[in-house]
Amino acid sequence: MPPIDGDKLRGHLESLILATLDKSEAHGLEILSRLESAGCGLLRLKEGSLYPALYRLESAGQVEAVWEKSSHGRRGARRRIYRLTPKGKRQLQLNRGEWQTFVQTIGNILAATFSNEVTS
Amino acid sequence: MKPNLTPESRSILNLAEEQARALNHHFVGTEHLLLALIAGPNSLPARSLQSQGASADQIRTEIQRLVQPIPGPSHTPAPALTPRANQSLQYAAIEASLFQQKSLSPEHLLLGLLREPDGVAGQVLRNLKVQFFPLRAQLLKPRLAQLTLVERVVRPITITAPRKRKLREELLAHLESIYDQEYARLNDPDAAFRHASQRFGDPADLSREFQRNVPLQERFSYRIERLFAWRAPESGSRYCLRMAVCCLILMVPMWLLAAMQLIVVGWHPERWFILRPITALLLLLPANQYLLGLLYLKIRDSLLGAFDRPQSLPTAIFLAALMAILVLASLFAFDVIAESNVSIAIEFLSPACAASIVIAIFYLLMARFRGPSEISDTLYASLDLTPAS
Repeated sequence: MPPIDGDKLRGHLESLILATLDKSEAHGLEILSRLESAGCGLLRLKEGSLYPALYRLESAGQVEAVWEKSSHGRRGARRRIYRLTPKGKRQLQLNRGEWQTFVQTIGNILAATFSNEVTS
Repeated sequence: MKPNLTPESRSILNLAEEQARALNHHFVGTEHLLLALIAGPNSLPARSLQSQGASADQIRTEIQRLVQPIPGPSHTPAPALTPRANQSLQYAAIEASLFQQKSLSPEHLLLGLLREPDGVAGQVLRNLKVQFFPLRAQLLKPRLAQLTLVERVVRPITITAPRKRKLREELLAHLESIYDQEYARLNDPDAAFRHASQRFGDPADLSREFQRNVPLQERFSYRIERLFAWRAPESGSRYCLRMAVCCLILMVPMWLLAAMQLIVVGWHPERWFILRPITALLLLLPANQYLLGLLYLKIRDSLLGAFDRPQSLPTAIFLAALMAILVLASLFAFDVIAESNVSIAIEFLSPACAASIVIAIFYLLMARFRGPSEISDTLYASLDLTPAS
């Protein structure tokens, strides 16, 4: 299967981030590794582009972030830890519902054409 | 203040102790630190020194020429750092903080040794014609590459300085982590950075994506801030001069307004006194703006040892005292011009004294607490972003 890259993810990235944060809070790199392991390595995302999406979610009030207490390991910069707000939780429920309807509708159509092709 | 060391630096310090014991010295000096830094032939400090024309053997010979082992039975259980070795660690900490690093790696220790003016290590390195700036550029190249990549993303975005600081730190933390991952995998700084920046994404694309999220009012605040902020690469004194001119430009219309009012109500020589305070301000404020600004920059840089100024608390306090005297003189001059009466001015001298001391302390505290982020902003603003291709 071909990998799913940034362009195809556009519009879904925010939902995906909300979903990865549903389990527990995380910093950017952790969010990416959760996405990667859940996507079986088929998601191809430029790592930096996670942050514009996180900032959009933050200004929409769907996630909130705090600086971690101390810098990790040997270098200097601190990471920010993101967690879902109640608003973000509601948005995630909404997105899940919408996605299910979308997949069902499109899936039905695609499956129908597919079975037609096979039988004809 | 005890500097925060990386595990590598801690083992360098232990190795330096061993070097001291081997020479039967009762102390760990800068020379022992240098010997420890070049002990591993493949360490980054050793390789960098080699490419600057100072091989490990040459350094060892030069040290042997200057320091002799002490004969007799060895008896030192735990030799302590000499004041100069400690001072070199302080300089190392300054180098680290300049590059936004909180713990000292062996690279910083070496730069600290070279910056410390009186130690044996610095003397040896200078004898072998090792120069500070090329060595720093080489040692901190991977770090500089990370900072430059972050700045390529952040600089074009029209957000105010505090937001930029936040964004820079977060992106840098991410880039550091993936660089470390790649370095652990590839064990080569250049290849590690190439892979990390590929994972990170194209900085221009990221900039555009961030820029789309910037609200209108933030763009406006950014423009206002740009007007009054330091602009790379202008010098400190030019910046202070520009601020003084801004101050003058703001004062002149106020003075004209006051003068016009005087003409409207009817000119009379006795009413001239109304104009006195604003005239005093017009004369004194821009000059003060310029001189206080300059003094503040010097206080900040001596306090923090930034921009290759030697770190010195006494110098900072002396400059702050100078600042207090300047403020006092200006307040006195203001009273004299405004009141045209020296005795009244003398009466106000003691509150003026208190005010000048408060102002000087205020600037000292500002240098201490706001200085580091100002210096980091300056470092980022001075990064050359033209692609090296």
